[in-house]
Amino acid sequence: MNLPAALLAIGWMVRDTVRQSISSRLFWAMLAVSAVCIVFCLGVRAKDKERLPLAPGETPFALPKDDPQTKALGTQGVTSQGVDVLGGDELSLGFGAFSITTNRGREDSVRFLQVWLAGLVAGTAGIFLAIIWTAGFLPTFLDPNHATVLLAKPVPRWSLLLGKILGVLTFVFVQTMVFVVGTWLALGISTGVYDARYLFAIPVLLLHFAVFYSFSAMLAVWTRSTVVCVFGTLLFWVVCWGMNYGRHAVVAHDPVGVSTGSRFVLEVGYWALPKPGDLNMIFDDAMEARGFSAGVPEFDAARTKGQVNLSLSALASLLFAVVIFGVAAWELRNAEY
Amino acid sequence: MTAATFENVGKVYPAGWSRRRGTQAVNSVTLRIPEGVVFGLLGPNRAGKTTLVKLLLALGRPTTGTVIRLDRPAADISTLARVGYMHENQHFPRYLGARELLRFYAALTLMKPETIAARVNELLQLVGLADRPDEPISRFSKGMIQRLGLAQALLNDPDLLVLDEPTEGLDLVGRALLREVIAGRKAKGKTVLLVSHVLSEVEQTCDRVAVIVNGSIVKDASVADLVRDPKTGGRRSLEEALRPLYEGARP
Repeated sequence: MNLPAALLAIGWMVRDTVRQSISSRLFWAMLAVSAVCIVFCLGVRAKDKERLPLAPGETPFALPKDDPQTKALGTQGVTSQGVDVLGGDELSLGFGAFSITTNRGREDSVRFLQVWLAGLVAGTAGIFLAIIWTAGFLPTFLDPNHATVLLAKPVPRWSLLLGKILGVLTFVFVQTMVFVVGTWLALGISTGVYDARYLFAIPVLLLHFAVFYSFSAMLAVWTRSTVVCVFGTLLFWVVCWGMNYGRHAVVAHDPVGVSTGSRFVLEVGYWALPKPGDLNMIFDDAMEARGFSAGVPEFDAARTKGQVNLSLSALASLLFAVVIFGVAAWELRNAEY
Repeated sequence: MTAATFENVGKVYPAGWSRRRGTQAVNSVTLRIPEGVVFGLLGPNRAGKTTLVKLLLALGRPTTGTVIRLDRPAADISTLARVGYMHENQHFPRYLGARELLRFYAALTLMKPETIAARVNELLQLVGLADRPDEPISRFSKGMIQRLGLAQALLNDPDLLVLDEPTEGLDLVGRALLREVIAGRKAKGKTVLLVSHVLSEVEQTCDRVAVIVNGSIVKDASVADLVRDPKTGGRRSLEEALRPLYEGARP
């Protein structure tokens, strides 16, 4: 194997794929979505209600606004005894157009928005769009009229495929960076809260995309069809969610009538396939998001029973992506044109 | 010395779900393409011409027999650095310009980086695209894409140039350019394998031709021999010479 030739081919293919991405309209559409979210974040204002001063080392103590004691004594009555009353914090959106009173502090309010941005906007809509949009890259590249001249070059086929895949991942990484770093900075500027844990969304989102893109790449090499890649990958995503949920549900509820064999199959399926639910939990954990978003009860119960290992789960998902990319490269190596 | 050798080569394309049934594309082909000649590969549609080209370029593997390219087994891709290939219906990335595409393909042909820029400019000039080097290929006509295809095949000054139906979409000027290029290759002692249906082009440019019908080589002779009428000793057209050979070809 000529390694320098392979590395050179990978470099050029990455470059070509990034060029291809930039020439696509969806590239700009995704940047526009990021820009809208950044502007939205710039328009956020969060203000803490004035708190009682604390002596050094003193533990803050507060009562909810609707607590019977608060109602009985009144806010002033409670605070006169050195106890704070929760609530009265302010969160405004749209440069002050909409304002709500919360009983979260400023930092919690920002974290709530960050969980929402990374989980729903980037983690669901963003990945969904990226899978659909990038699904056509490889089938187009592998079409005989496109590929035969490139495959007749003195570089290994796997390097062409790897370069293309790394190009797509580079592009998704750049888009994720723009979105996450952009919204993080914008929220920081507008609220003064710079929570670095939010940046952990970048590797988690990239891993999430990579595992499903590996499957798309394998379908592309086998079928050279964009339609199969789009629908096959989305179906696979649903299957993986189902397997992830099903396994945790069985562990959580321990239903009667599920045979040992079925449990074994479920366990093998869970460990063999990517685990999108577990990947979301990793990010939620990093953000301590349990206070803002209701977790899936089955996932929480499986965790309580000690049957969820998130580090191992992420590693297994990464391993899945590497193995499937390897299978795709092997298929292309043996493909006849 | 031979630029390419096919030794008892057979190729079956698997078909059906079980992939047990198959189509015999070429059958026991033995053929030698000498160095320094312009070699024409002729035959009716579905005769197996493109299959032979693919086997030569390691785009497919022979079911039986061996293929040698530039004195090395065809599976050894290192010799592809000395090969240029122009595909009959090539599609290039539409987002690139001609100059950028040639730089990209030159790099993948493992050309020395310091030689690429000059060679790309020289070839853009040769194929008449020097005035539109950075225009996106999406705006190119079929003829311009064919010219670009020819330029990319010549990037590495190949010892073996494989042209698969190169005149498709080319106008008169383009065809004259192609003839000029082929003559230039021959003058430099390089080998050209020309796969074409345009018999007049083959007659004008080739030294030797092989005729493949239904997957088998039915004639391997010099053009001069083929166009000599065996009955009268006079000259006949290549079409007249080939007509009896094409009889019985797959519909």
